[in-house]
Amino acid sequence: MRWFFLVSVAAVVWLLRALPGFVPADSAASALVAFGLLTIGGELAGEVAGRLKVPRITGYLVLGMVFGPFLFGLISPHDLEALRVFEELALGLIALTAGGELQIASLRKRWKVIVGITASHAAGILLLAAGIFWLILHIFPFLGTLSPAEMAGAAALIGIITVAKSPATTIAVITEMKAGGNLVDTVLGITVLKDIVILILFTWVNGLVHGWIGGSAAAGSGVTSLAATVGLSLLAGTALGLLLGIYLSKVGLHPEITVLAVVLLSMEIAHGSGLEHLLVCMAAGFTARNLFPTAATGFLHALERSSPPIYVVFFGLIGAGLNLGVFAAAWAAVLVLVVVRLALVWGVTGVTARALGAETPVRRWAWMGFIAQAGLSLGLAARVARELPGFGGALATVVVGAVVVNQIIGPILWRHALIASGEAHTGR
Amino acid sequence: MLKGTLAFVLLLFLALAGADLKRRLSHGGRRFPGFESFVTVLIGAGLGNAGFRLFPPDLMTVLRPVVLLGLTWIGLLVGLQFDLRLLRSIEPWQRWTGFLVPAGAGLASGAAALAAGIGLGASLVLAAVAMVSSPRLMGVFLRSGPPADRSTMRLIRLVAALASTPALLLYGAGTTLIAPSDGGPRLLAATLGGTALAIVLGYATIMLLRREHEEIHVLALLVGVVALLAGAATMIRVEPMLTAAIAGSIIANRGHLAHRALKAAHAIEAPMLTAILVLLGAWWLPHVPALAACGVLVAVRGISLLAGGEVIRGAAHRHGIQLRARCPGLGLLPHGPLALALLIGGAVTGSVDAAFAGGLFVALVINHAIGEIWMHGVLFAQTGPDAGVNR
Repeated sequence: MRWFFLVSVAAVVWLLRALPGFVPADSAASALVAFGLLTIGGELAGEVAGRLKVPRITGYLVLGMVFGPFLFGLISPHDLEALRVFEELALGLIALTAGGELQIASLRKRWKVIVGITASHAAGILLLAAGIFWLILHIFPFLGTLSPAEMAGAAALIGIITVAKSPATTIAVITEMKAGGNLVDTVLGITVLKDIVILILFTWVNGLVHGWIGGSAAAGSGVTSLAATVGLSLLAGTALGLLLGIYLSKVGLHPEITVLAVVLLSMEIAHGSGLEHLLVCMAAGFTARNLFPTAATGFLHALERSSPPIYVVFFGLIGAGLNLGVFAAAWAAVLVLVVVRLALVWGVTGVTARALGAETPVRRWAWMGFIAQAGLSLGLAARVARELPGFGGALATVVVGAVVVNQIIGPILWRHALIASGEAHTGR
Repeated sequence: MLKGTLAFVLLLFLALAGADLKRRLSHGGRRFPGFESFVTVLIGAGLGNAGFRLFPPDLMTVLRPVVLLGLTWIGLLVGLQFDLRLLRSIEPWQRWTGFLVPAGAGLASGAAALAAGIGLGASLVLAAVAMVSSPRLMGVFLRSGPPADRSTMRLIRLVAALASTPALLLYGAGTTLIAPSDGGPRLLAATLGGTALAIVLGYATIMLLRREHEEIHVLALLVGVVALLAGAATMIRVEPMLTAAIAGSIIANRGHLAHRALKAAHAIEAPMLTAILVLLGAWWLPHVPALAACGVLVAVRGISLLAGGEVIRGAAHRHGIQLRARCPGLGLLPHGPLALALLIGGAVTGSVDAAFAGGLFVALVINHAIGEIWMHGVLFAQTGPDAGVNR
């Protein structure tokens, strides 16, 4: 019966969209409809996902895909653009949660494993993936005839995108499963550190590729300015975290709305001064949690309480934004990329964890926390398409297709890892 | 000047501060619990167009989705409180008085506005605002101590509670009718579409709420329903507040879950109302002629409600209830949140401009103050040897 009403609601929205002569164009109203549809449908889809023993966010993603512009078209590309603010807001809240989950005491205990696995991903996976794709890229004709330099550039960019993961998805599944323990702490630490490393690496590699294929970007200056951006972002986040901590410990009223306001503020600061919003929020959460531990309990509870509805819309929007047509166009290359990435993440993570003497759950299950890909990878793919007009578009197509698959299987694997390691429903 | 997002952040913080101020002041008991709304608007005015100009001048456009969401939320709240079983339990004469007295005030104020040359749209908003009275304020007074004349307080509260329905109907139907349209069939289709939308979403909410027990999920669902109602109603050019009120009344009367929805809806009511007040203040541009016009309108509404009060006294007398308080109609003067929502709704649709809205708000404050003074009088008056009979 509940599904009957969801279908009725969807039918009403479809009617509204299908009668362009009747309905005047109103972007704000259209975005509100999309928002409402994702919220209502997402709640139901999450429930079904729970019954099927897959993460709720997988349900939100699938619903987004179904309602999105590439299937039923109930959510238009304009709506996705109009709701981008909400996506940024949700990403900020997730980053704040990630920062808030990191405790200095826990990081101190496992910093070797965190830094080691991050470094092995940044170097090992990047080089191995780039090498493998340099060898096999010529079998995909849709990329066109590439010069050796272009081939190397494409392989390097695929390598870097292979390392990227979705911090939001990892954190969302942890929150949903109320998980805590060695595995969670390690994967969270790597998630945060990797986010910084990927940004720097991408800028560096992108600069190199431009140099190889005759572009104008200079790798060195890009990295220097990015390092400054990262530093300033962390500094701004620390300052914001201090303010948040002081407010929470001295006043402490309405933590949910305060957190929301902090994220909006960081978004505005980041956009206004070219800083990385995600890093600002992570640093803010980390500072508040570690400098004001008593007040942070309430703050984390506030984040936990407000996160489910935010995840519904955020992952719904991600699902709606995934270009499903791309998968059909380049499915063979997409599958190769997915399989190679899975194998590399599994192998490199396992070997490094063993070499560093990590605990058994980390050795066996940590790799599953690095499979999901979403916003960051899509953003990198978009940059590739924009900055490398020759073959960048085709390359981005393959990457987007792989992101679609990884974003579906990633949360399922990570949920399985949390249950198998016994860390689900133990923390938080 | 702040950008849209920062303006929203500031609005959010002011809403929080305002909601806390409201709570602290209401602990003060009988001492003018409505005063804080005026202070909140003044804060908004100080920061907005009339003061430091921190907000963008096109604030209503920048924050339009948020405003639409807020107004539709208030419409849903009104609908959720429309309980037909309760309405049937009221005696017919009370029901009719409850609809006719506010209708009279609305008609008189609307006619006066039209006669003064104010446009049709603004006159309609004014008439709807004039019809609304605040039952909650009376509730606050009733809870704070036994009044000298409980019968009057209860009856006036009942009339105030009933007034929101005709006000919202007038506003919703009126704004839909006067909106630019290609003709009758399109208008009819929009009306039918809006009603169908409200019915489908009302029933859908009942079905969805059945399995949701955690408050955060109930709240998320309601936000989704309200967003969908606000967007879809705006798209087909029917009034979102009225559509939401119809959906809310279906939830209130067709399920046993209204209390859960109402609890979740009330949870964010205080900050939302305060945000609306700040927004109104920030948007306001002081304009002396508009203030003068609104002064005249206060007088017209006051006189019609005084007359309405005597109608209520007469009707009550015929049914064996003696109302001893003087000028019972003055108890209907305070407006409440729905009036503010209608005013902002008029601003969003462009029916009223910033100067007129500001003047109208001052009128609301004056009405509120007179109403509260009257309630103090009824609460503390010793009206003779039988003063305690109704306690």
